[in-house]
Parts: sequence; C-alpha cells; structure tokens
Amino acid sequence: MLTSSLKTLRRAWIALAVITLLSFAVAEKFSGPAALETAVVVAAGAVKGRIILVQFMGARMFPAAWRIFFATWLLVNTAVIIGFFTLS
Amino acid sequence: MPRVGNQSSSAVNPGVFALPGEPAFWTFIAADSGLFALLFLQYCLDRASHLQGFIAEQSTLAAGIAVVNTVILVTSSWALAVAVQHASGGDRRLARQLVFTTSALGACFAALKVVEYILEIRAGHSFVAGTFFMYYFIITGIHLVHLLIGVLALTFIGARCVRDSESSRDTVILECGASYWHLIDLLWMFIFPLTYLAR
Repeated sequence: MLTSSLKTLRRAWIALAVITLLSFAVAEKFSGPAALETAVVVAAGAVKGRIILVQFMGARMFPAAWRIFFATWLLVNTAVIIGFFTLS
Repeated sequence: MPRVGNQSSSAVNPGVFALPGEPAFWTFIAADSGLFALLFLQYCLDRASHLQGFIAEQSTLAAGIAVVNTVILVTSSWALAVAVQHASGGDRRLARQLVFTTSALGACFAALKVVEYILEIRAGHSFVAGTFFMYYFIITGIHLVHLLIGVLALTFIGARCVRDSESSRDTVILECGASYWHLIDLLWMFIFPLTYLAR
C-alpha cells in the first residue's frame, strides 16, 4: 500500500518536472502565434496544478464543495489568463 | 494527501470525504487562493491597458532561474507528500528528515529568488521600472513571503511535531503545514507561466 502510494507520488513529481521543462522549451523555441504559446504554457500550469491538488493534496477525498471550489479556481484562472492574452 | 495516524481530523472515519488537517485552516487557504486569483485578474487587466510596455519589459526578464526554482518547488512538495506518507506508515524519523528536506529546498528557492531580484535590479529593472516590473515584484514578492513563512513553519513542525510519540495535535499540525506548502506550489503553477513565459 505504502509502496504503491510512493510510486504514484514519484510519477507525479516526474510529470511536474517534465511539464515544467517542456513549458520552458515551448516558450523559448516556439515561433508561432503568441496566443497559442500562451495557451500551451498556461494550460500546462493548470495541468500541473491539478496534479498537485490530486496527488499531493489528496483532493479526491475532499468534500464535494471543496473539490468544486478548486476545480473552478483552476478553470477560472486558466480561462482568464488565456482569454485576456488572446484578446489583447 | 494521505491522512496521518489514526487520530487525524479526517481519519476518524477512514474513507469518508474530509479535508486534511484543521478544517478552519482551509478557510484561510480558500481566501488566499481567491486573493491570488484577483491579483492574476488585475495583472491581465493592466496588461491589456499597457500592452506594449508589458511585452517590452517582460521580454527582458530572464526565466532560467525561475525554471530551476519551479523544479525545486515541485521537488519540495513531493518530498513533503512522501513525508506525510511515511508519518502515516509509522516511520516518523524518515518523515522528519523529509520535512527538513522540504524546508531546505524552500530555502534554496528563496535564495535563488533573491539572486534573481538582485540581477534584475542591477539590470535596471527595479520596482519602478515599469508596470510589468511592479507586478513582477508584487506577485513574486507576496509568494516569496508565503514561502518564507512556510519554511519557518515546516522547520518548527519537523522539530516539534513529527516526533516518535504521535499526538492528535501533532498530526493536525503536520497536515496543515503540508496543505499550506502544497498551496504555495499550486500558486506558483500560475505565477510561473503568467510572469515568465506567456507572451
């Protein structure tokens, strides 16, 4: 049980590190539309946030209202940032 | 996050949906999350009003240190999640070592952030260099204050609350400390792309 949980945590950590490096690579090397680049790096941040919530904070065991709160928080932040950067 | 021990607030009835640590502490976490969401919104609004200035100033910001810091921060969060697992499994000595490892990684993040600030200020990018840099220092500065509080809290928790003889109070404090640290990590997942990467 403990070993399985530790493996899950290690996979989450590796995913967080890899997504971070890929986001930086996209920001440095991508030469396409700025809006697309922004959408990719911000969405990557949201995915990392979801991993932290679920794997590190144990969000699946939160009461429903708190799961909805954090899911909304992630979605609103992502939508606001991508929306403003795309439209401005 | 796994619940620690058999007396934790959420582990009284294993399998029941509950928040780790002290439920009232989560009111603070929710308020803090909301505050940062407002900061992100205000950043986006001001960026839309001063677009050229933001783009010009942001293009001079070096993201290299922030990338290293992001990896350090996710590693610290992982170490703390593993610490909570080991505390739950009864290996509180290893749990204590991992809590101190998390504090040390947090201190590394803070040190690198100070280096980054010094480099930016020496390059002429001070708090008053422009609207973007004002936001850069405010958002990353508030986050840094959170992180420093977390480093101090985890150092205290490692020294006083992850002991061989577990008490329900220690358990709740460890779970609150871990939740707070993961919140710092969670906030950074938006601060990093917003201030360093998004164009």
